[in-house]
Amino acid sequence: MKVRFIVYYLFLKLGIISFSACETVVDIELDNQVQPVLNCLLLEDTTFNAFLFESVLYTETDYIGDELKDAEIVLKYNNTSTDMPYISLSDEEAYFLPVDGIYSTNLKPEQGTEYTIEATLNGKPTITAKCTFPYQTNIEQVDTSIYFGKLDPLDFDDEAENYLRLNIKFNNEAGQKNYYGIKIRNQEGQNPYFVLPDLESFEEDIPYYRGARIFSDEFFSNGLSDLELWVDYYSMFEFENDPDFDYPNLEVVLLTLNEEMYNYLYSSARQTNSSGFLEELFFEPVNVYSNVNNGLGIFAAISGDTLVLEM
Amino acid sequence: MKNCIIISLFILFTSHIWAQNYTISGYITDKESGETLIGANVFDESSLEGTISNTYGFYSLTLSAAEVKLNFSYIGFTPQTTTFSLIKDTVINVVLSNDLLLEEVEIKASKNQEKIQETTQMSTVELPVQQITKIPALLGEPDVIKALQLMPGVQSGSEGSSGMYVRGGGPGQNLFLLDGVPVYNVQHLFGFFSVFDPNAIKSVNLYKGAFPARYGGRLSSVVDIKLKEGNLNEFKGNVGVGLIMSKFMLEGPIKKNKSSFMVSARRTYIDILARPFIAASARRNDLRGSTTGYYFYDAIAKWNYIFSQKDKVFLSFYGGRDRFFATINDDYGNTESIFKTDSGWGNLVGSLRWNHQFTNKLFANTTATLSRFKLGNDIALKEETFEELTYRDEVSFGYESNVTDIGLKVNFDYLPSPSHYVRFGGKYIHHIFKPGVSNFKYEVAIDDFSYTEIDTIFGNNNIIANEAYLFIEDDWRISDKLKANIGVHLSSFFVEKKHYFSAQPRISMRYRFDDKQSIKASFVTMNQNVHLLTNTSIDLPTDLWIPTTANIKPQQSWQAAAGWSGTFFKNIEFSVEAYYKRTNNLVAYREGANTIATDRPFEEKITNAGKGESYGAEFLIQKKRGRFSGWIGYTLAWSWRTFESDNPNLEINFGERFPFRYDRRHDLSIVGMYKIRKNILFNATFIFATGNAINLIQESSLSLDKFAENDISFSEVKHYGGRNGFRAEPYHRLDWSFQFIKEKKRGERIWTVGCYNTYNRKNPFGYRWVQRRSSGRKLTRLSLFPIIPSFNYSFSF
Repeated sequence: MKVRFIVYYLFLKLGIISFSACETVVDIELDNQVQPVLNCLLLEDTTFNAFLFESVLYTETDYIGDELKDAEIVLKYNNTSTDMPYISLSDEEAYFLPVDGIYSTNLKPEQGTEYTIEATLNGKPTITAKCTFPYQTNIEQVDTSIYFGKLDPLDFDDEAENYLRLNIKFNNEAGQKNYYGIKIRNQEGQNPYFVLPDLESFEEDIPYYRGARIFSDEFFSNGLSDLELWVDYYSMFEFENDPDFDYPNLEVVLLTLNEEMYNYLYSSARQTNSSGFLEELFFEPVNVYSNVNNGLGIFAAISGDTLVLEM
Repeated sequence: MKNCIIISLFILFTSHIWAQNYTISGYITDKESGETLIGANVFDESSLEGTISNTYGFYSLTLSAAEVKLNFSYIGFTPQTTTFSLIKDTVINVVLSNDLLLEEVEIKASKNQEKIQETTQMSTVELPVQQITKIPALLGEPDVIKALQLMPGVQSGSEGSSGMYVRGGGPGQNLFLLDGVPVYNVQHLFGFFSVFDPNAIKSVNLYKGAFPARYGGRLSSVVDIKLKEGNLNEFKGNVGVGLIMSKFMLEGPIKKNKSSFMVSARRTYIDILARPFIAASARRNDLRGSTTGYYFYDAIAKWNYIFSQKDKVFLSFYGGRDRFFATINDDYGNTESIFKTDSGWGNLVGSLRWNHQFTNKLFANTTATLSRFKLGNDIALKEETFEELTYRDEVSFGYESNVTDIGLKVNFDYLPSPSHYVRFGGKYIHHIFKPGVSNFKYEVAIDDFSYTEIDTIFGNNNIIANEAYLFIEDDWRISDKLKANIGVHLSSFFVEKKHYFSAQPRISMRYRFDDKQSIKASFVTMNQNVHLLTNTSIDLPTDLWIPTTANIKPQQSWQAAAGWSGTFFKNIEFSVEAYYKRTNNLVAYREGANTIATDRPFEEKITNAGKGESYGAEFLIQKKRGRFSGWIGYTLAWSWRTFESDNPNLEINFGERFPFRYDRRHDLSIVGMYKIRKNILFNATFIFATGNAINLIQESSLSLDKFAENDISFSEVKHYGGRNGFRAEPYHRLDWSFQFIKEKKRGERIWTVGCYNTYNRKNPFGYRWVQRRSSGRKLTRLSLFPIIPSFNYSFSF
């Protein structure tokens, strides 16, 4: 990392020397107009909640676009449709949210069903987005063992230790592209750090979403597949002096993402990774995926299966 | 296919046997220097048959037994005519004298000089070296590639860059040949200068399409540069002093009319001039002994020996290097540190050529070639802390990438009759690619006890590839009005136990309406087995040459073009060409790829799923003779890219079509050269181009994360408006120069006074967003070169 920094530094210095004297602020009218942004994520046992707001031109001082409260949103599925009215949230409910309300319905998504959202705004083309709630992939079996070694062989400060090894068996459905996420948490709500050694060389491309590491099935064969994890679990309790200490049970959550969700997370992760002044010089630019017609944002879905491991 | 080629060859080789014909052959040379003249005209006024001399000055014309009135002509030289009865095979070696007086600007053409409407070849630019040296240039340094960029269909990259983009192609799709040897990296100083020193160059030909079958290996263009061979009669030379570099060229006979040499070299001296200022600055900042600098140099040498009229040997060499270095000595508290970096990159090119004339109709050229491009970067940091014990930490990082080609090429020119000019031959190339290897070392020492904590090498393995090609082409005069160049280029590429074969048909035709105008059309297919990976933001020497591998397919293209050309008002040539080009298997970095990190194999960072589509029209009006000469070139063009794949990781812009970075709708160049007086020349160029299509964040929105339960993070999604979705401001500038020429006792001196970017246009080099505390984000334009005056002195003897 240090060496990479030095290389960046040198190129930066060369660059600054070359053209800093000729840098001019320009008034350019960007062709782009603000666009409606629709974000809606379908989760197991959660009602449909959609957020609608405007994007922000990069020349603006505000970073959060205006909320669009006057839209008519309809959810269509299985030849039926249901309205998603705008519901104002209480201050407490909206405390962490950048909006005052949400478009919502009491409906909960069903696996294998295709949903279409249509949002109509006055004088603007109808915003549409489509996605299918994926069937969950069941965890067939989890084998546990001890791995002694380093989590990152290139981390020279790291020392070999005992780690918990999990071998998670699941059925990788043939004849389709599958996208997964894996998440570990214990019953105290803690998320231990883990690595996926078989996917480690692709580490830069493995996106995270709320503690889950996301990957596609390109690294697995069809049928029963084995995903290995090295979990840094024991070190979380290294200050426990009781030799008979009962480690809290672990929950293994295997997420199944639809393609839209994977594309969105994968491209978002790469964009984050390549953001910044230096990064923009040396990284290729990334456009974040959107499946929203006549707008931006994402309409996607995640299903999941959880297995509790007694420790 | 194989049988067709054998039958065609048999017919061509034997077709002349039954006629009562005799062959006139020989070499055409320059009286002053003894150098052979390429493309000189040989024309029989009795039979109205003719030919041209080949790259080595050799010509051959087979005519019926009769009285012949043979006219030899070459642009800028006094024509010669000889009349005799052709009753046997005859050898005539012709020496033409150059009447292009030194003080004259215009290039004279004889009555029989082949005009634009008469050649079969289309999509071609032949740029005389005298013209290149007159075009006003950045810092007064004439540049071959920048001169070519002024022609329609050829675009420059970013400001000041010598990168070349031909008909929507990328910079790695141009084949630069220096005396027949491919040159991989053609840029010095991050692309502000090209590696070709005009002082040492004899001729420059650019093919933008309608590629003859003898060329292959790149999709978009061929720049064929021939070096001077060295004056066989007397010593000649040139010395030049400019603002940032000096140069010299010397040529002369080793054994008169038998052997000669040519050497040229140039070096920048920014590092030397800046040294005292850097040293003073280091002292002021308490960094005594620290230094930094940058320079480049290149050297060319050529030797030739004429064993007989039938056998000549040539040895040529090019070596060039850019180097950036820095040493920073610092001490703080009881710690001393030394930081050192040394980066260098450059080419080594060599060729040994043997010309042999088998018969008066069959000429052979055999060349052994070597071409190497090497990039290296070393960084080291050493820290010593003096306490009770002395602690020393030393970290070093080295990076190297290179590509080496060793080849053997045999080409034949066969001229069975005035209606056919057949070229055939082949080449074998052994490629050794080292596409990025790094080593990292970390040593720790406490007093005399030291140990190595890390010593590792990582990166890509060497890749060995073998390439071979065969070609045959015939420049065939079907009738007085209709001419065609028909050929095929067959190439094989062996790499990682995989074999790629391609057959590339080429055809171009010309139909002449009358003496003044003709129409032309061509269809060619091309194949490319080596690929240049470039960063989309800035041109860097770290751009990586990689081969076709078991996983990376060769790039392919086809191009169709049609055009009309004519000469009016005695000497004003006009041409219009329209083209359509499709490319496949284009290679690019994947979205989000780190283009300079070396910790991952290159195959994991690239996509090979690219398709390209380019089309447009090119217009050229050119006046070659008279007190005023010059040209106006205009290109109307579109260029698109699509990277679509079943694997989303390999897609760019989600598989949607997007404009190529150098998709320029309008590109205009006006070049004028005016002889004010016998010894004063005024030259000016004006350039206008549509802005580049670049990536610029244009809007943002809140990410999905922001709407997750209890998430207080702030994360935004940036929107570029699609790949290359922002159109930069147009580029335009006006350059001019005066040349003051004076004959001196021992030679000729030229003072050149010029100005680059006369009206100080702040042309965009790039854009970036800058955060201002009061007014939010502001877009800033980065410009490289404001108005830059230049002064150059050169002396030719």
